[in-house]
Amino acid sequence: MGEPVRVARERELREVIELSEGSVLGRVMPYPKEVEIRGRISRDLIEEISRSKGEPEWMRLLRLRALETFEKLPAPNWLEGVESVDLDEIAAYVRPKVEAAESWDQLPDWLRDAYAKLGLPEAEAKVLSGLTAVFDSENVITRVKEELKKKNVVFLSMDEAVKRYPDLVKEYFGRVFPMADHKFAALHYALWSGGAFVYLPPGTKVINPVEAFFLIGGEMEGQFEHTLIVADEGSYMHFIEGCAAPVLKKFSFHDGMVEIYAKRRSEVHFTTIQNWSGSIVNFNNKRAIAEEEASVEWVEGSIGSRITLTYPTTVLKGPGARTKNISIGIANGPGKIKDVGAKAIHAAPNTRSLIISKSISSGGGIATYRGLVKVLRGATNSLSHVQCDSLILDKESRAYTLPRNEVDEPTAEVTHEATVGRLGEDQLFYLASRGVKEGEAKAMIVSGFIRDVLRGLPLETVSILLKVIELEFSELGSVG
Amino acid sequence: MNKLRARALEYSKVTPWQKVADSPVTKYYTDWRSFEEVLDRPGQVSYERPRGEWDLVLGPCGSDYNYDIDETLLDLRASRLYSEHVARLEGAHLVDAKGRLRVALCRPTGEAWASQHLVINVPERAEADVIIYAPRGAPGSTGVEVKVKEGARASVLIVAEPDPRWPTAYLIRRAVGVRASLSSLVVASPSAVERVDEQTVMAARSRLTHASLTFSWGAARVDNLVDTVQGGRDSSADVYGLGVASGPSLVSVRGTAILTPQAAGSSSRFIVEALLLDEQARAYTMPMMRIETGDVNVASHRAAQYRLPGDQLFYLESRGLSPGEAMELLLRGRVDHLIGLSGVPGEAAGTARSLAYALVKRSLTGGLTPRLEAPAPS
Repeated sequence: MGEPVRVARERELREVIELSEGSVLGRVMPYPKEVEIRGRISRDLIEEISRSKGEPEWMRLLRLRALETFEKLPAPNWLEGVESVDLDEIAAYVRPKVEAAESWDQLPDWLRDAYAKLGLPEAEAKVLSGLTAVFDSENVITRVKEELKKKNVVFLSMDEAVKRYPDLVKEYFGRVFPMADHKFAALHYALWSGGAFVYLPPGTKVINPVEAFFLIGGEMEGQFEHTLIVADEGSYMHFIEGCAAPVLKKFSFHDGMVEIYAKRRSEVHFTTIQNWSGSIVNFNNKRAIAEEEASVEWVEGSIGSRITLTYPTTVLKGPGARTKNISIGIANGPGKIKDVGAKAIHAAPNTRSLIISKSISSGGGIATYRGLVKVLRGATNSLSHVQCDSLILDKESRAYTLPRNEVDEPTAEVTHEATVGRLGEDQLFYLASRGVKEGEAKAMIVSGFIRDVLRGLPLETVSILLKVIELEFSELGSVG
Repeated sequence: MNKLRARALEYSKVTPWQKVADSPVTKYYTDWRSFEEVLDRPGQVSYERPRGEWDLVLGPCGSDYNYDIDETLLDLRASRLYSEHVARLEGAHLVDAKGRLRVALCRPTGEAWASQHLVINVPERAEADVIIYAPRGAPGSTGVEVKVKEGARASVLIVAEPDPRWPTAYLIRRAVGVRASLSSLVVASPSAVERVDEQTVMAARSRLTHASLTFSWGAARVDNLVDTVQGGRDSSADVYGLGVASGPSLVSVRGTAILTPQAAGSSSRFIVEALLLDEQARAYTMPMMRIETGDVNVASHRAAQYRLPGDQLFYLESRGLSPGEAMELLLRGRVDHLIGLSGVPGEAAGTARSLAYALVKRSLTGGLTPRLEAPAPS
């Protein structure tokens, strides 16, 4: 080969490597920042964040109370892989130099291009009734369509809701997921910024989904968005949460939170398709309270990130309340940890919970299911079923299932089953002999493995999930 | 005091009862405070001869200690319970088992802590069927280690009968060597606070079938932990746990099936169940798996908490059985099934059955308030 061919080949390889490092956004690019607050997590840092956001006094005090709680609580001693995270090194608050927009045209080119690569404007135009996007620590665009306006649905950024609807926010903020639950919940409350607030009036049914999208722009940053959904009696909505980040040389840290209050007979579906790049350490705190006859469904697709810890929880507070929790976790690559699961707390009679988990580990990754079904005394005739299956794609990978069933009510019935199996060499050989590359073969087998949980999910969720899984096992997902 | 016991004494001063909480909601399934309270209780311990006919009676009431314990399968740094157990031993027994063997330990009685320890060794390529009776009348710990050497076949029944008043720990460790097989059954009656702490370590091509049957009534709190560590390739483990709870008691049936990176080609099945007999009973089940190798054959686990089926109870009562008789019959069926799964043969199965039936009866006569049954499937 001659010199020009060798140079061209090297450029081609470089492009492939850049594209293949786990993100459609490619490598991180510099962008203008208006405010960046980093340093030791202290009272001064919290005060500066609160001042920078122009918050009311009660929110500032809440943050400081959370900081005290964070300092008192010990770190959970069962966590794996997060020992290297130094919270004092990361930027706790980053405001990009972007005016909050109501249309895509109002965004600067560099940001509009990033969202275009992710397919957000198209999705918003075709299928959503509302969307808010958080970049680093602030909402940069919120789109509220006619359906939401006509139905008097309150949908805006969490920061704006704190100022415009203080009484409503105060009633529910921090009441579903207490700050003292664990150290990283307290950290979240101290540093939270950005997110979404939704209030559904009684009887309101929002047909098309609403989405919040979270993008981390740079490395050594923290994102602490807070989503609060209050579904009043008899209401219905489907909320989608998406996440992405470019490829980072160093890590960034996500410690987000979702609180859902589902009042009597309401129905909330919450879907997360998380495809962070391989440099993100991801904590996701999610909890719902379901009142009488209410229903909360969680769908958790944990595909990306270096480490993810998330355990969507529903407290079944009212008689007849029910919850369904579907989680799919893929740990693909050495050092990748997906520690995902679910918790259902039965606190009233005739409550129902169904937890289905599918974990896949590949390329040296570790997939863990960690769950809890707690049935309190008095939760008579409650039923719970948990099914957690694991698929291990190669010799180097590992799978753990750690379920706990604590039943203090003898009239309840709780069942649990799980299998762990290995992808057979013969299955791969069969597909390879038909011309299917290894990555495609793995993606096909994984899609088949999770097929039964996809049934019944909204079409847009299924198609995004399958696409993301395909990406994960293709060249684009195999490194980083 | 030999080196092992000296080391255990040192560890007991610095090791916590439990290093990591059991769950975010219920911190500890074993009430460690109860053990702490009786650890240094003053008083004398005497040893009574156990009832029944036995090939060997071991302890101060029978054959003297013959083993200055210098190694143990207990991880002394994992829990203060293990290090205290070894540190407080006055002596231990080592028995080479071949053929049929019925062994009983002397029954310690009193109000002070007493620790006892028995090691059963099944030599290479030997066959043994062992019944071990371990009664207690004092707080403390009984340790039983069963070592099945390469190519050997063994069945072991352990009957754990603590004093219902005292915190008691049964520390049971099993090692199954290369190409060895072990059928194992543990039947335990309850005490106020009881921990039945079992672990089996398996080598390459070994086979284990094991069942644990624990009862809990009155105000008892029983924590049955059944761990399996498969550390060699092509090993196979079938492990079952059943807890039966009545009255305001709590039974937890749990454990972890671990397949290490060396356990390529291995299989594991782990099933835990809790049967609740009345409205006050409580149960916790935790079947965990840690698969450290992708080259696993198959691993599965299952858990269930349930009541006796109402339609089956109705069927029996409509044939003239009283409610108590109907429950007893169904419970005996469950217990028979579990004993069958353990694989222990002939005499041991018969012994276990008799004991289990007596425990079933005791569970039902504690005053069920009122009887609990599951609705018939629609």
